[in-house]
Amino acid sequence: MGRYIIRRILWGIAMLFIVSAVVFFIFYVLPSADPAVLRAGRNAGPQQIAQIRHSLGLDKPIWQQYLIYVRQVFLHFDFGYSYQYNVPVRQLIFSRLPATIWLTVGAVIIWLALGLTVGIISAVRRRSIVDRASMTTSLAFISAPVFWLGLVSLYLFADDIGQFPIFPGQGSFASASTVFQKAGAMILPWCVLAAATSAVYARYMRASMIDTMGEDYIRTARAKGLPERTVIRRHAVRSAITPIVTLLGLDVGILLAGNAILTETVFNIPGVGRLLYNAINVSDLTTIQGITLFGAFFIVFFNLIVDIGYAYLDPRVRYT
Amino acid sequence: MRSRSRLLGVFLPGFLAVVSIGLAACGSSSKTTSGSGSSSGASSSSSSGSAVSAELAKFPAVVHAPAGAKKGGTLTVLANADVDYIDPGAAYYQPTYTVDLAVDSPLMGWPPADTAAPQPLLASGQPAVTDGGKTITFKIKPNIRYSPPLGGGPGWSKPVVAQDVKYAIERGLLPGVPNGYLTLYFADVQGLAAAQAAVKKDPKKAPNISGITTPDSSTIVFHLSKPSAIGLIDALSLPLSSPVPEGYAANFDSKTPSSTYGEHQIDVGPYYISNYSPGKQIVLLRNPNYTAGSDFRPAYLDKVVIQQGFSDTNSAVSKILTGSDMVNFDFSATGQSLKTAATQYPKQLSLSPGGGNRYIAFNTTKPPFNNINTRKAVIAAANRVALRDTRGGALAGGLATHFIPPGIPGFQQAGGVAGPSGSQYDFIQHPTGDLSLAESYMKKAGYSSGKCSGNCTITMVATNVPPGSDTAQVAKAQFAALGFNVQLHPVEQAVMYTKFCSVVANEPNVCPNVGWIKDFNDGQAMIDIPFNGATVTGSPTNNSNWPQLNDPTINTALNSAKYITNPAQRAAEYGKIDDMVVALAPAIPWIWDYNSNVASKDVAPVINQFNALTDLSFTSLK
Amino acid sequence: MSVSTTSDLELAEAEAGAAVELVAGGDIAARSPWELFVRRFREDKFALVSIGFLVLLVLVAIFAPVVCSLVGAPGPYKADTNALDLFGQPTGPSSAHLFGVDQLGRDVFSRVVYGARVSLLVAFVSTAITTVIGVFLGLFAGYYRGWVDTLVSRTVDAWLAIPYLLLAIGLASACSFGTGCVGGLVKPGVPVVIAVIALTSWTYPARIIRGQVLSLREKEFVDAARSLGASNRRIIVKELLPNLAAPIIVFVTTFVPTAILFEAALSFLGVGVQPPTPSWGQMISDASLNIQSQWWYMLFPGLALLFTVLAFNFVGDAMTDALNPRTRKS
Repeated sequence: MGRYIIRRILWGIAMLFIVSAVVFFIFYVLPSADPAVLRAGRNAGPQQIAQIRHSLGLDKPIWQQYLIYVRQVFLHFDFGYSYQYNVPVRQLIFSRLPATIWLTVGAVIIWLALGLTVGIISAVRRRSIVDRASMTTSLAFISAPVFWLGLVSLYLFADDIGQFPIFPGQGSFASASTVFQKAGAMILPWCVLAAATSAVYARYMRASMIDTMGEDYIRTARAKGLPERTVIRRHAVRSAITPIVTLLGLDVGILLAGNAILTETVFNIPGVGRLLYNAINVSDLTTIQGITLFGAFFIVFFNLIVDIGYAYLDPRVRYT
Repeated sequence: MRSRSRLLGVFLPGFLAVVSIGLAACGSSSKTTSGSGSSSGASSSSSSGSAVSAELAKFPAVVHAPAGAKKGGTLTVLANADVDYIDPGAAYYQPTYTVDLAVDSPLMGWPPADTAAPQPLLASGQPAVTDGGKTITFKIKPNIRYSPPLGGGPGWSKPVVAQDVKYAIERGLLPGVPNGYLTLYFADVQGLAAAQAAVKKDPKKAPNISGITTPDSSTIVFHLSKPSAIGLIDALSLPLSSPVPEGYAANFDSKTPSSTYGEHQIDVGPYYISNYSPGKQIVLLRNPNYTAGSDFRPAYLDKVVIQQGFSDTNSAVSKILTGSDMVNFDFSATGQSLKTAATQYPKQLSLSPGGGNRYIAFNTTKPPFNNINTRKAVIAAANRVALRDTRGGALAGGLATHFIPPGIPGFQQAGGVAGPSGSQYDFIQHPTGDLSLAESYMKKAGYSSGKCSGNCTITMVATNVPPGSDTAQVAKAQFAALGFNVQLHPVEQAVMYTKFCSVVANEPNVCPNVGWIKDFNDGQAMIDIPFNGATVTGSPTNNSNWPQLNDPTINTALNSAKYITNPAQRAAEYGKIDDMVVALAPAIPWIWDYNSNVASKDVAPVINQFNALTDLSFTSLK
Repeated sequence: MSVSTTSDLELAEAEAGAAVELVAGGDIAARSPWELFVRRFREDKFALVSIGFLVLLVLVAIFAPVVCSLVGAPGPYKADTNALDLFGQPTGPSSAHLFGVDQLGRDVFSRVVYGARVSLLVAFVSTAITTVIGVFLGLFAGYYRGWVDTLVSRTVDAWLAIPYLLLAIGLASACSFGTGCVGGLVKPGVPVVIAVIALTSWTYPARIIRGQVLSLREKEFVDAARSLGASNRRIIVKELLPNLAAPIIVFVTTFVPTAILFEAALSFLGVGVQPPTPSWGQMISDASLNIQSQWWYMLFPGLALLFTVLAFNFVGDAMTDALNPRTRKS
């Protein structure tokens, strides 16, 4: 087991290198805006632009820039300065992470609670009205684009513009100071983000439960005379939940890497996703790189945690 | 969600973004209705009168603090994006000046109602201009002290001295403090070229500009090689000359690639920046070391919080209108929110001329628009009212007929609202378009049918967010009416400028989303760079003369106009040049923007006409 | 991911290509897998209705101009300035415009109808490309193992961390001009969207197919074929691919809705289909700023998206159930 972990960690580090190289490559092969000209402003002549380009290190050959960047990051944990905000990228990311973490954690709790419950009940009561209704509803939620759901929920419930204003509106998270206020500002975004995902989890859980409940050992457990409840809880769920755990690790890693961009944009939450989107729009390479690396790190980390947890949950799975 | 104004000019200092500077003086524009093609629009106003347009009169901007204004309270300012630079030496974006007007004290400053010329701020009086306009001497006020530093630390306890102003300007040459106008407006200061060479050798130390001298600690003298004193004095109202002590800042300025002074700055205005979270918020508090009454800023508010990230500007406007203690920062009310404000909350809306224009630029160096008659044809066919509708109709701005907007000296001289008169300007005299006139120009251009024939494919690069993208689509349809096959390529705004429109080698046939905002109220700041041939040859990768106009007569006129010291003569000359530019049909001017500012009902906003935005030092709560 | 085993009876059934079923009355009737599949599919009423809806949708998309003229709608590109009020703001549903107009005065009904073209085109083409790439790579990785497998699997892992938005925006601005990229194939708009979807999503089918191939290659029939001297290529084409048909079909039917939503999201963020081409995601994006007062041009495209994706999902679900031997139980 130990060897497995070490191999995974080594691979994780290798992946960080690869990912940053790919981002550099994309950035240079597919041209976007010119950060030196943006910094220099509209009155700047070519001399000034060249000077700024030189100070940003953009006039060096790509591979050299890549090596310098990699050395800074891995040896000094220095992610450079954002071209756009002129502050260290690390500081910028850390200032945005809390909002994304708030969003992710809350949404995860809701979608797990909702998704797993619905999935288990649907599986247990297969083909009943409950099953049909919940599966159809969850299908409906998966089928609506998350930003549309966000907009509709703002329209209906947010007190800036809503018809039935019960939740605070856009931008309320940024101005909230107490934990209570922050949570209040997050309820609508949590629900929106969790809606589609809980539907996915409900369906996976249902399918996984159905698979599991058809197993021989479940039949054996029932034959032993155990009450149905115990059969479900102790045997079926425990085994059915393993693919969900893998999915969860991946989803959390991806959200923290900035993929909640749509929800963050609709509700004006100052998180990592928005930061990445803004950075891409102004070709702020250092910020893009920084967020991508952080994101890759989260994905690797959570994947690892999940796979280790998987081994504990399912005794049949062993790693060499 | 994608915002109308989020990306507009976010990090392009000075590029025509959402807001602009302006003066509420004599600009009149007649009210036009959108859609119906009947009225000719530009008929009723006089070219010499000072009647304010109907729209501006209905929603006037308050430029004086009300009598009995109350001290205290916290104002919340909702912002779409961040300031361009928190470092005053690099700041160039109009909304950034909202912050800088409150925390910095350059030599000269702008009281909200004064736009003709700046007033002394750090300077103790008007400067002495001697030696035929080549030597300018300022005396600075004594006993001005610095605020506690942003980001904590020991700060600087010594009072402001003249050397601090000199260093503040010199540090603008560092590549880590990319100042956007030093080389432009300070070009004639002696020793500038040597200083630029010195900073190239050592980019970590601000060079000495020998033309700026400080004979004693309260006097600073500028020695110019040419008599361009007016331009320089105007430029000294920008935040660059707000004092920065070398002993405090040199350490921060030596960092590469950017100076870190901005995040550790010390301020001398009535407020100081006590907290800065990039992209999230800026907090201003009363400067404890500021002596009340030392300049014209009354400073009623105790605290200002600027909150960023409101990409949905429509709901931000509605939040301001229905909430309390809020104003807008860097976005105007446009479209739907403008309609709501105008119809439901008229007392909370104010319009000010923004001191900027927008135009659709032709690339005059390649076919088909290298032919002046083709250009005149397109301008004649253009429905400028429809273009203005994409920004909200008559409340969004005046219908442009030439390039200098209302409030800038030269506006009236160039023809005022109606624009230049005379039959040689007939193509610009039909705001909703005149197809038959257009066709006659096409025939003069050589298209015998009156519409394009042969190779009619043209390229157009526009922004991909509204309202710019909407304007581009309307423009495309108007070009198509004359038979052109338009290939429209919407891209990110930053890409549009830095990769296409501002790069001479890559410029498409048409750039529909360009325009210009003044740096300050002077003709030079408005039409020199955008229409001077020297811009194209001098900055081929950062070219703001999008039509690539390079006419020797105009170039000569512009190059000598900046040395005229008599204001009336100066205005007349720039007005004349404006009309000369219009005659060459390099672009379709279509709007002179208004800034529409909104405030909550318990705020008494004062709009500073310099940047047509709320002045934090004069605004109070009711 | 579950490690349960298939019961032997079912395995024999699937491999024998025939099924044994008890019919009321005691007769035993043989049914081919195809008949079984159709039978089980037919049981799901939702899926049948959805198929009907989708066929209708495809017809509407193909005959969009006819549909618009039937209803009297002016088409998706005509800007009707009379439908804009004094402030340049759009008006809602009226007799001239069934679903109202958008911010430039264009008829929303026509744009929703034409938008079906874009959504369906993007969905089908990007699904096809994604599936082909994914199946190809997954097959090779799973069958040949060794360094090919390591390379593909590690690439799949790393791929998740690349910000697809960067790729999308970069592609869009790089391929803006003249003939675009890849010899004119990739231009901003629909081609870039398809490219982005395919480039980011190939990892899903690759993973699935690889897993399937890993288990299939150990089965007896593969051994049998190999011992008969069949070449690798023959094994892949004749033995493996037919058995992969089921998971591939399942993947395709579940991915099409994802592709539609992906396109909508990209358009929403400004890097998708370019105006004036109507796309549902783009319309919602345009509408998003004014939902409180101009609800119509967010509601109708949103509902269109919702129903289309729902229909695909129902069909996909039914396919999955029908093709999965294990759900026959209980």
